[in-house]
Amino acid sequence: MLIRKMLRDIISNFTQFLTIFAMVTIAMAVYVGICAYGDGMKVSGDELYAEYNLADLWLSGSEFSESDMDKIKSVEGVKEAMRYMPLSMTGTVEYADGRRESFSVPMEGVFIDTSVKTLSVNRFRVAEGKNYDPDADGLWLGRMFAEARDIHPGDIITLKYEDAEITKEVLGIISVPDHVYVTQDASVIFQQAEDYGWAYMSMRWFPQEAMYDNMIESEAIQGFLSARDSLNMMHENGMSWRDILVTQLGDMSPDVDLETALELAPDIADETAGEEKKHAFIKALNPDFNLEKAYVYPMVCVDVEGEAPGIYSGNKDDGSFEKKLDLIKRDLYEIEAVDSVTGRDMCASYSAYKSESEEGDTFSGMFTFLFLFIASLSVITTMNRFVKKQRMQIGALKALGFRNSRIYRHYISYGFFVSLIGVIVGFAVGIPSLGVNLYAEEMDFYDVPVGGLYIAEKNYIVAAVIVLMVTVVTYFSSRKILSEPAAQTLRLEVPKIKQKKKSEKPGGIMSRLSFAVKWNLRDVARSKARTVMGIVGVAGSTLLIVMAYGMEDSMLNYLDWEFSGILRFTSRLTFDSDITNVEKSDLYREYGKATTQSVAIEYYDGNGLLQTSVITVNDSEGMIALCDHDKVSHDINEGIPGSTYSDINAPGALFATEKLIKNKNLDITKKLKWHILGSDDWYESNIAAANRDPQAQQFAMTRQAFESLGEKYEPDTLYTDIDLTGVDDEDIDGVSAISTLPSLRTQMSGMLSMIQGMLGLFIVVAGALGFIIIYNMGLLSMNEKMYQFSTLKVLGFGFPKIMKIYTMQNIWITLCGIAIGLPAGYCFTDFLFVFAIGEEYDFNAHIDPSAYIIASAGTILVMAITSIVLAQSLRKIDMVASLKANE
Amino acid sequence: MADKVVLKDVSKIYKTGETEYRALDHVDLNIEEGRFVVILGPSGAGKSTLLNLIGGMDNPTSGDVIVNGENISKYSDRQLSDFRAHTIGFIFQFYNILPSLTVLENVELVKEITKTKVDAKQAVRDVGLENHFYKFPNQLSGGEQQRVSIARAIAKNPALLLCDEPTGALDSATGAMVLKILKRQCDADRGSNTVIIVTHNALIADTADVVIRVKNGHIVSVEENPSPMDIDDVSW
Repeated sequence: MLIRKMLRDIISNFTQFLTIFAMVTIAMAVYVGICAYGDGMKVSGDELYAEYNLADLWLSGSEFSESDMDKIKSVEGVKEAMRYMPLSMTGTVEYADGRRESFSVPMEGVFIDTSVKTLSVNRFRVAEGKNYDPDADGLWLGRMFAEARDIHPGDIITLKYEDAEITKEVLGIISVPDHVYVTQDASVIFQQAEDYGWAYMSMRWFPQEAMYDNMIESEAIQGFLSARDSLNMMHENGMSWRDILVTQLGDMSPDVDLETALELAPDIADETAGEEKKHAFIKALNPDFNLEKAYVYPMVCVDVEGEAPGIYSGNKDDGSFEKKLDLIKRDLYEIEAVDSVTGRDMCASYSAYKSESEEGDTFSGMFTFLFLFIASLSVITTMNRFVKKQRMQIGALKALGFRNSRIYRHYISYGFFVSLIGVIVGFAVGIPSLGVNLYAEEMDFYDVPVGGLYIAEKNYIVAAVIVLMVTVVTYFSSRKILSEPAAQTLRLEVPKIKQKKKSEKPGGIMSRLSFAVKWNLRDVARSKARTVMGIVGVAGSTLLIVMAYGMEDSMLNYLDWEFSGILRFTSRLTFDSDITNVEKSDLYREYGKATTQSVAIEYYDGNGLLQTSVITVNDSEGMIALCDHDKVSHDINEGIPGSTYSDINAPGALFATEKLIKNKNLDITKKLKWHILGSDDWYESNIAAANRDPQAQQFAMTRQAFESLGEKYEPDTLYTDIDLTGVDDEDIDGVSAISTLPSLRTQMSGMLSMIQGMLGLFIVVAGALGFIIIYNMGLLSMNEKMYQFSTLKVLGFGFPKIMKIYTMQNIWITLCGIAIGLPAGYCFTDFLFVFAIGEEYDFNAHIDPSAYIIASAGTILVMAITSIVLAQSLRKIDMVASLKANE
Repeated sequence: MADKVVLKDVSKIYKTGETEYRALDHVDLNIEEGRFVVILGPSGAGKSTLLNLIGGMDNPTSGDVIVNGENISKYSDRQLSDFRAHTIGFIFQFYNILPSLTVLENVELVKEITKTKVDAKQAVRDVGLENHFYKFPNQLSGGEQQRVSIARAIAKNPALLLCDEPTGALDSATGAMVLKILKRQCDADRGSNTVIIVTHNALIADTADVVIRVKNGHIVSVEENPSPMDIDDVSW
């Protein structure tokens, strides 16, 4: 029976309970939606990494031989290791049935050690076609690129590296755990899948001629070719080939066929020899030559015994795996061929995915708190008033003999059931709307074909806490009346005589205010909870709108900072790794000498831990600027005004980004100990200046400071003001990639469109929140004051005057809410950018004044609409009924 | 004397779903100017409905309500507001004063709606609350709150004062005091003001010039009282 009463009561107080329901639903939907996608990303990633065995460590060096591999595999704790060669190439796709036009894009080719028969580390997940087979004549293509370009097994891809070409059939479409997120180069923030692909194949398909060319270019063979005339002369002068070999080329094998080698040398030197001649030439110089052993593998991926902590469960790891990795790293560094050892956090694919999956964590908590807070305020005001209205009914129930506990349960059940249904609907709505859409949007960029949304236990705990909280608040809001004796409850509520201890002072400020102002001021003072709820609700609505627009503004500001403040070139040319000095000179002559060199280093951070980073040796003539704290650009050679602590050109003097200094606890008063990866020379140098960079926390150095160390400056990138839009990198010798600033900026559109989707949702939620809160506040206020408005109407007050009195308070509350919501919106946006975005980013909220204007206008509009809607009931006040009801 | 209030064949029917309730059934009534009128009847007889129609708070289902020669049953909402603002004073059983305003402010409220010169302080003094100008309603007793309500009603010196159970929530002494004030208002302006009191308390009837008895939506009787009893002589 009481259930029926509850249902009818809820229906007759629909708007108030709808507010509680809506707030709980939104809180739950936002939390579960964001968690489902965030946790889904984490768990799916972990599943892929575990099932397809993502490597734990990556080794790099100039070359890893078979004996190096034996040493690596013998290190205690190393379970598996696989060497490979990654190569930046250009791919041309031809569709088997000609269904689409062929096209060319930059691609990464990954060549697997020929001795590997079955993959044990970074295994393939085959979406289409067959699994890896080193003997199968073909390649395996990355799934996202394949899907974006409609490529299937059977299609043909020609990969080109310098003059070498490999034309292979696509045998399989795959996902690989270390290629979840791959960018063309480090400057690309969001890689569009169709613009960059990658392919795996056995090293045996690498063009042999390219291998021969590589060997011919070695110092020893080039030396031999230079000496060929004098060697021939010796032979013509009667010296036997053996004597020449022994006396002139003592470091060569005695089995060398010098005669054949010298016979072929002219064609080799003139670069007219074909593959066969090159092979014969090398075989003559190195009779033991074995092509398989000549393959160069500069990378090794290593699987360590034991299970690496996952992204989702990572926090539960006790650190033992990390300790084990640390010991293994030390042992691996003992191997001569090893230049650097890096873990998963330095794997760009892994760290980008991990960072993205963690982004939602701060969002979900923050929004849930906000909505729950408003829901609680709604519960307090609604239940308090509701129970007061039911005073006589409570008395009647008590008089009938209902136990207090039963009546308590009855009234608590209002909050309980409304919030319970709210969380259930929140689950039902949040997962398919927010969760599914956010997950799908994220997965447009990340290749994680396993798993999906994940509903963690914590969601149910949060749901239970929400229901419990609303129920407890319901209890505390109604317990005063419920605890009164039956007889007292049946009486009308005694007015609070002592509520106002003081009379109004004659001639005070109040006496000078108009009636409407006075009336509203006192009404606000009397209904504090309702007022606070209104202000918080409006502030929340304003905050969400500010955040929605503020996030977009901040992103645009970040783009301006990066693409106008820091990157100040028009075109960027990335040098080939084997660019010759002649090619460099040609490029300098054509495009200028603004260059940089990226140097991978290891250093000890402020906590004594070995970290990996990059120094950009900057000789870019201001085309890569450094920004100070206030984002003002400076040429590196000027230093950073106010943040330059010592000589920036002293040997090894470093510039460090402010966030790096903070995150790695670096002490600018102490010297930083570092070395270039692959070199055993350790340096200790000052952090001479601190700069800010929005997306890369690393070091920089002047060319002079770098060269003062005795290091050779070998630029890898050139910057120019010349617009090279449409110029193919193949058309310029010595260049592997060309990017223009507008094209780099365009790449950000993917990220922005995703954010805009989120922002649209924000605005809808903000509008709904604002409408619900202001409507509920207005309705509560209207119900409470109806008899007063009736009295005014009886006295002869017309509709416009009553409307003015009624609207005035709404305007005040709206203005207060806006005044709080605008700065709070900034703070929340700033908080998101500072704390919720990955460590690599350093940018604050930057909100255009128009965002504040839109947020204020939007909130006022919502207030105006709800006020007009509600005010219609003022027109039709039934004075008789209203006054009777009050009696 | 001229008729202050005339009701011609007035009916008021309330509908709840398919149920009709006839609160007033073809009522005809004349009330002369300057009379102290008491309308008597049991609960549900239709007396408050009668008062509400006279005061322009409600519209009749049929018939005409004429006050000061004007048929207010034809008035628009706006005209009714003006009519209540300038012609009528209301007093209710449960006072209906605004809790957010002080005693003086509650009375000064009248200034917001009428151009008539209002001496709010004098009105408060008239009801004996000169020591409570700046108090809030919740600092006053029930009788004091009712006197604030009267002060608000008489401050604009209405030609027609309508009182719905004005003593219903008061003790006898306070009730007598309130009636005296009402009687005084009736006698003011050389006796041109009309006061109509709705009550189920028959004792009050002895003090009235005219007693109208209502039952089941009909006027049962209209009795002239040639010698109204002095309020102090009424044994409550």
